[in-house]
Amino acid sequence: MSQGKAQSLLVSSVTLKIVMAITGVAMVGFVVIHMLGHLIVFQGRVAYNDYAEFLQGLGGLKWIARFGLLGMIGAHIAAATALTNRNQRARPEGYVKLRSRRTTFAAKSMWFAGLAIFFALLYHLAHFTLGWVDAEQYTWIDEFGRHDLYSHFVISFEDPRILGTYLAFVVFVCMHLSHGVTSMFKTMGLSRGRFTKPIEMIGPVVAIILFLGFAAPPLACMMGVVTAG
Amino acid sequence: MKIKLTVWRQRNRNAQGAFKDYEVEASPDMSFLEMFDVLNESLISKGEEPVAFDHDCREGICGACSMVINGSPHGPRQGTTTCQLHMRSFQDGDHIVVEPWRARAFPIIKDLVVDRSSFDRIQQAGGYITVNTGAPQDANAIPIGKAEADEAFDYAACIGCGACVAACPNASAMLFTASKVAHLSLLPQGAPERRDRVRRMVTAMDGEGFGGCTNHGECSAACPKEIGQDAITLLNREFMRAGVSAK
Ligand code: FES
Repeated sequence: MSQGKAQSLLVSSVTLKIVMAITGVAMVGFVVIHMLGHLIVFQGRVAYNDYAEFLQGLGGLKWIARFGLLGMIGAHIAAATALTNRNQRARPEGYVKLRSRRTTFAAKSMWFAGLAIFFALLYHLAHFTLGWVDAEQYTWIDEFGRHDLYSHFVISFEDPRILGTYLAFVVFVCMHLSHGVTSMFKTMGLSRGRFTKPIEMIGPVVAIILFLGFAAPPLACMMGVVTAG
Repeated sequence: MKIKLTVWRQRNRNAQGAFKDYEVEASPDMSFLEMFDVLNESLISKGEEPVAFDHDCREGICGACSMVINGSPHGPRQGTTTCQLHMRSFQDGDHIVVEPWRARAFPIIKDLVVDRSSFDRIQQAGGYITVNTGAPQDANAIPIGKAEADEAFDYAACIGCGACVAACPNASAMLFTASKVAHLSLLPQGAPERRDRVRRMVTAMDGEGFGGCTNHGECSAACPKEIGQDAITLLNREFMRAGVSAK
């Protein structure tokens, strides 16, 4: 392999974009399944805790998924950092004024939203996975002697502070994906000809669906539609 | 019509540049460059240094003209080069800010003139086909579908002006490089070198210090030839195709 070939395939900006896209697909897949999992809250305590027990019972598979996702997040951030550095170096002296005609707020804030999501994710894990926030709720058990995640979930979101930060987290995720999902298709070479227009729409549509799916359960808890009683 | 201009002046590559204000009496029938000619004549008659700007054909086909006009490369009109932009697109009394293309890979030579030889080097890295010399083949010897021919022609319309880089928030040369790759990838004549072409051109593009593409779409919006982002999708395809090739 010539040096030029090795270099273009390993570290080129296009390769980094492909890394962003592939890790992005995996994470979007996780986010969609996670949203569907949340919606089980509407079926009540038993169904929700069943689902939690099922996931916890996956054993080895669970750890493969966890480390897989961690790897994806790491690669996504590493590629994003390399690309963002390159982009910032590419225009050392800016314009007094540069009008944008087509880009969106979401597209311009990918880096910022990505960072916000990363930190919100750490908090989210500390809260529900590690049980560092409200540690006492983490010890609750249901009638079958399992961790009562259902009550943990419902009581948490009755607190407007937790609800507020959570909704902000969801907004950042949706904003990030409204550009990211469409971008993913473009990078993977799929948005072309008659597919171009629908693919422009796919990011925003996925974002709206995710927003509704993620916001509904906590809002239902807040409004007393879903209760821990 | 009276126009108030704020123009970037920079003596040479290494000098510190600054904006300077001018007043010009223009006619709505003048092109934007003719308005600059009028300004320069008045500067010369006053013994001042005229504003340096790039231009050649003045009919929208060479890609030499390059000014960022009120924040838009080639000005406010869709699909129009600076030389084809007329003062009737502006109002009497307008204040117009004119800047050069700004990118690390396009260093300023003087005032509004930038060095775009980085584009030439990307082109030389792979934007060509190899043909036998001698008598040309009959034009209809290689069948090419109408749809492919039309699309290839859309990408071939790139005049290499650099507005895509100028408009991109990342100063990326992706649309330029992609137009060349996409154009040749659709034609049988481009097939023999397709793998090396995309690899070499992408390596050259990165090596010049352009930013990466994040699919903002500003390039296509600013392109005077209105080349779509499908070109970029095609480059990505070509790149992946080359990536999975064993050769
Ligand atoms: S001067 Fe040739 S395109 Fe404008």
